Order: sequence, then structure tokens, then C-alpha cells
Amino acid sequence: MNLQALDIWRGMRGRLDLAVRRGRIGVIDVGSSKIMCLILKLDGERLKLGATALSKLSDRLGPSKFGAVEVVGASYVQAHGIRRGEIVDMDEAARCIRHALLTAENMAAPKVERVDQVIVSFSGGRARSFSTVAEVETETGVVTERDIGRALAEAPDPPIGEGRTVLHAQPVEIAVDHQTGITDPRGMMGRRLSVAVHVVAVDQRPLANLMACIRACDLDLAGVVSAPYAAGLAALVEDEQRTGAVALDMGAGSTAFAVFLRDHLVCVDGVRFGGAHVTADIAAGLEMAWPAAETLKCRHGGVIPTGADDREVIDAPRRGEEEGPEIRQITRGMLIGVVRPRVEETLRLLRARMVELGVTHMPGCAVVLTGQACLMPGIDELTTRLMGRRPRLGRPMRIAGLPASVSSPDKATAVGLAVYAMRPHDEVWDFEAPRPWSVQGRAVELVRWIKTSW
Amino acid sequence: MAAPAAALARLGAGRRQPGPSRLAFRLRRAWAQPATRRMITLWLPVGLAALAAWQVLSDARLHQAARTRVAHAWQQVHDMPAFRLQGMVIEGAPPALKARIQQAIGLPQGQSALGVDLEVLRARVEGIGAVASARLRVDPAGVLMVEVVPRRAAVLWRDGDGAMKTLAADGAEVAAVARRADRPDLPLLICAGAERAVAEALALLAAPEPAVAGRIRALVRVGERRWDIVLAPAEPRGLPGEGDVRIMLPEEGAPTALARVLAVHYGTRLLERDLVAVDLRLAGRPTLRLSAAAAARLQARRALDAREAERRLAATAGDSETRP
Repeated sequence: MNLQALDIWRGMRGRLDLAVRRGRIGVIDVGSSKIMCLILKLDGERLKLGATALSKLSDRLGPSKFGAVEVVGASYVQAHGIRRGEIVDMDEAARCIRHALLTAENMAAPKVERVDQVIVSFSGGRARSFSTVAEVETETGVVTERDIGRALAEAPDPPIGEGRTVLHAQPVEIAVDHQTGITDPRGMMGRRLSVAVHVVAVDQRPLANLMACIRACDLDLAGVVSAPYAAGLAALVEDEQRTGAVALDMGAGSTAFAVFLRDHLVCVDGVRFGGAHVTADIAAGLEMAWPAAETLKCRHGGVIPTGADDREVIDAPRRGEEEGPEIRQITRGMLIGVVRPRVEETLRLLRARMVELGVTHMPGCAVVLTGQACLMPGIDELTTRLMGRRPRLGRPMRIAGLPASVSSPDKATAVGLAVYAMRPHDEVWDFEAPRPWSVQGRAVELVRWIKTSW
Repeated sequence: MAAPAAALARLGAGRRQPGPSRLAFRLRRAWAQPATRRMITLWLPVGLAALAAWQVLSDARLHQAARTRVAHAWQQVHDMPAFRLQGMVIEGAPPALKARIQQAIGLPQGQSALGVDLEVLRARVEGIGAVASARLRVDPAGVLMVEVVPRRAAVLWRDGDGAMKTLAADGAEVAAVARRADRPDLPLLICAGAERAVAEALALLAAPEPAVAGRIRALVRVGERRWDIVLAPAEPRGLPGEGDVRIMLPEEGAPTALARVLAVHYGTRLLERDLVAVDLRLAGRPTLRLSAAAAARLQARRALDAREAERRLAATAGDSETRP
């Protein structure tokens, strides 16, 4: 794999270390209907234990890290200029992000003055997963980081396509001499080292737009995380991440899923249909204005009709008739009749993707729903019918200082970004790729040798 | 790009701006930092005030205006009648000197006691030759008290140009004198350079007995090196200056030489004789210069004595010849 091209991510990892050292970082979940910002106060000492090179490959959120992160500011604003997870109006999107950041900073004012580094979630750009495997012989009979770096450099480039770039590239499966299931191969004796890498690729242009937008807010990017990955990090408990689980992030712009197995992210995919499309359907089908349609969906929406729904009558003013003497009324059954096909179609498409990727064959795999759309009544039943498995409603895990208002499922992505800030998974750019012979390279090696020897 | 797109969005959906602009964002973030806030609310006004104060203090015109104001106020205080000088009292000086001192001080009527610079006035008063030292103070009643110690004139001095002055014992000028006869009580010193050796002169004058001292007409400083004492003749004869006896004292050891002359005079009434000069300039060769008449008489006497001696010699020789 071409590791030199991923220098931008290396720089971001450096900024993340800087933010951890400084003890404060911001986390922005950029979604299609809302933008959520959390200001985190980090205990650099405790987190540093996990961020040094020596324990890069261990993923455990152990008890030593509990309480190392505190949420000191949280804000939640409506998003403008973002559709399907991609920015369509740079100025409006930037303003929304600034608004969210200022509100969160105001709330965090006495404890944390100002954050300069942020981690951002990216939910558009057609995220797709690829995998690549590399096998090398160890230099000495013992596995070292250089061997891992060499293996990652020698892995073949996955066919991510034109105009797309790598968002995550995580080594997920390491085998030494055909012994699989190894978490940290450093120091192990062996001749052959084989590393499997899971690569998430997204469209380059929307990602660049998002990064430019963040830069326009005077912020340094310390990481970009795929949105379903972040939702899974927050909503899935550790057991689920180990034994295998699918986190479904049902958002306004897109519905995506992330599959976790053995504490690693192994698959990310999605469809570009979400809650916004349901609202559009309601607005078009029932001839309503968009805000009224949204309100109707949130208050009275559902996907499973019951007998009582034919009798329940709700106000559904037509476009332009909100102030009129007579407001049209519909039954809830009619509403469900408009909402359900869209949701069903979305879930079917999702299931088709999952079948394509072979995710459905995982035994004992849990399904967890997050995102605002999963609050719609009856969605878990619909999902059961389509996925064949009863889903769980995933609430974000508790971290210190999280206000109670920030613990509903639609806030899971932001909390997942905070979890990522605490212990970011190792990516391939964290390992030194062996460079061609150069004076600088030799000098770097010399310095490293001196550091490790003394 | 921003303005038309935002306008389009507003046209389409009728929403306001969803958040702050970049500038507003930056300003608010900067304001959120207490250090920046303190800088702006505290240090900036303090800095501006300091700058304004510096400008004000260094502005020349303001300085000028301030000075005139202050001077004006001071002037008003000055001119208050309570501070006016009531008069001047001069103590310790003869009337002529008093007048001169008054003129020297020269304060106008209505002078304020606050404006009197005592040092300057004292310098003026002491600038008068006749004043040795002066002390000035202002009474609580508003009277200027001047205490003066006048210089005592010790000698009269005529310098190379012919101007006559009285000098104090240390050579300082006291007053100018028109004629010798104005100050007959003071000894006369003549010639430039005498003013520097007044002490010597006075020492010399102290030595002679009154009979001789009364005849001393003047002490002449010759060549700025030595003194000549000019004595008037014992009996005045003919024109003044005729018959003067000049004692030429040497450069070094003048009092000793004078004492020798006086000792000789005491024994032989030397100085009452018909001399023109007594030359003591060379230590080993004291010389008397006789007047022409005296010299002639001396010649005649010597001739007579010589003839007398011859005759006596011849007589004794004849006597010795006649006696077998």
C-alpha cells in the first residue's frame, strides 16, 4: 500500500497527540439534519498510557481509562447546507459548525477555554470497505514494528476506484506462522508475518470539502471518522464488539451500518436514503410544507399499522393552509401508509448490501439500532422482519460529564467520536514504513536506535 | 461565492443565516479567552491613557501654556501687597558706601519679597570693591536687611596708566581715588605689579621708625620684582621730588636689607644726608649714590684731605730730616 500518500492522516494523528497532551479536544458530528459538538477535557497522563507507540495495537478501553475524559460542553444545532452527509453550501455549513462550536465553548467556558483540534465524523461519500492482506518474512526471528511496517507497505492497493481516498486502514487480523487471532505480535517468535488490513474508502471531493469547511472555522483536524463506525463505538458494548455486532446508524441523509468483530471494525457500508427522504415523501404525498411534514413524522410517525391507527385523527395542514379556518385531517394509518414503504425500501437495500458483503452469515451477531430514525415507533419490528434478528436500541455509552440530554440514540455518533479520541484504533500510517535509503531516513533510524538503546 | 449562494438559499427556504460569519466567530472565540479580554479591557485603555499622557507631557505648546499659566499664577502671588518689600536697611557701611550699595541693589518700588534673589543681590553688593562681605536677609516685617563688612583700605596704588586706587591688605580694590591728597593717610604704591605684593609692602612699611616712616613718599615696584622706597628729603628744598632719597631694596631679603639701612641710619643719620639713592640690590655691594653737590664736596674734601695728608707726610719727613 502506498503509505506515503497517507501523510495527511499521519499529520492528523500528530495533532490528536497534541490535543491529548494539551488536555482538550472538540468533537463534531456533522450530520444532515443536525450538527452536534462536544467539548472534551482529557486527562493527558492517563490517556498517554494508551497513545504511546508501545501499546499501539492494544484496543482495550480498560478500567485505567475510565474518567480520563470529561464532557464539559455540548451543543446541538440544526444543520444547513448539508445533504446526504455531504456539504452542498460551504458558507452555511461553516456557519452552522461555528454556531455549534461557539455554543459548546460557551458552555465549557470556565473549565476549557478554547479548543483548536477537533475530530469530525463523515457520513457521506459512499463509504465502502475493502480488505488487503500482506505476508512478509521477519528480519530476525522475532516480530518487530519494522516487520509490521514492511508488511503494511507491501500489501497490495485495494481497488478503491477513481476519485476516492482511504479514510481508515486498520490492521485487523494478524497471523504469525499461521497462528491467527494474535492481538499484539511484537516480540513473538516467528518467520512469517501476515497482516490483513481493512480499508474504508470514501469519495475524495466531499471529504476535501468537509476538511476545508472545518479549516474555515479556524480548527485543526485531529481525525476524520466514518459516522457508522463512531456510532458503533458508542452504542455497542464491549462484548458485542468482541463477539460480533452490526451497528445500524439511521440518520437523516443516509442509513449506514458498521460491523464489529473481535474488537475491530471489519465492514462499513450504507445506502443513501434516510429520514430526510421519508419527510420528502410525506411532503410530496400529503402536499404539506417541509417543516410541517417533519413535525408530523416525528410526532405521529410509525411503520407498523395497528387497528387503532385508522381511527386516530391528526392535523395535517396542506401547504399554504396552516393558518386557514379548516385544517385538513388525516388518519395515522394514512401517515403510516406514506412512511412505511420508504423505510422498508431503505432497509431492504441495506439488507441487500449486507448480503452482498456476507455480513449476514455471522453467527450470534447482534444488531443495534442508533440514529434519530430508530426512534420511530415500530422500527425495531420492521427490522426484525427484514434482518431476521431482533435489534436492540443502542444508547451511547456513559462518559463522565455527559448531560442527560445527550444520551438518546441520535447522539451516539458524537459520543462515539469521543470514544475514538480516547483510544484511536491503530491505522497503517502509525507504523513506520521502511523508506528507500536516504540520509534523512538513516538519520531517523540512528536517532531511534539511540533512543531505544539508552 | 458566499453572498449569492446564501441569497439563493434564503430565497428558496426563507431562512436566516444559521450561524456567525467567520469574522464574528473569530472575534467571539478571541473574546472567550480571559487573557484576550484582559488585554482589551485593561491593558489597552491603560496603554492608550499612557500614550495620551505621554503626548500631553511632551507637547511643547502645552508645556508652554502650562508654564505661562503657572508663571501667571506665581506672578499674582508675587504681587500680593502682603509680600511687598517694606524697605531696605543697610548696616555697617559709611553713607557714601550705603548709597552705592543701594544703587547696586537697585530694587524697584513695590518689589515682592518672593521675587528677591538674595544670592544675586549679595553678589552685586560684594561686587562693589569697597565691600568685603555682605549678608542679606528679609525680615518677617518685610524689610531687606543688608549687613555689610566694608573693606579697609590699606594702601593707595597708582598703576602703570596713572589711575589711582585704594587697595585692601590682600590687594583687592576698594575704591578709585582722584588725587593723592584725597587719601594722605595711606602709603602710596606705584607701578603695575604692586597690587600683588601689597603684603610685602606693608611689611616693609612697618619697619622704620616714625621719623623715617613719615618721610616715606612712596614704594615703587620696579620691574615687578623688587621695591624701591622713595623718601622725601628731611628738609623740603626746592621743587617737590628734588632731594628724594631712593632706597633700592633687593629682590630677596628686602626686610633684612632695610633693617640694615635703618640700623646704619640710626647710628649715622645716613638718610638725612645728601643722598640720591641707597643701592642694596647686590648683597655684597651696598652702594650709596650721592647728589652732584655732595659728590663735588666729597671730591673737594678728598682732595683737601689728600693735600693735608701729603703735607703732613712731608712735615713728618722734614721733621725726621731735621732731627739728627
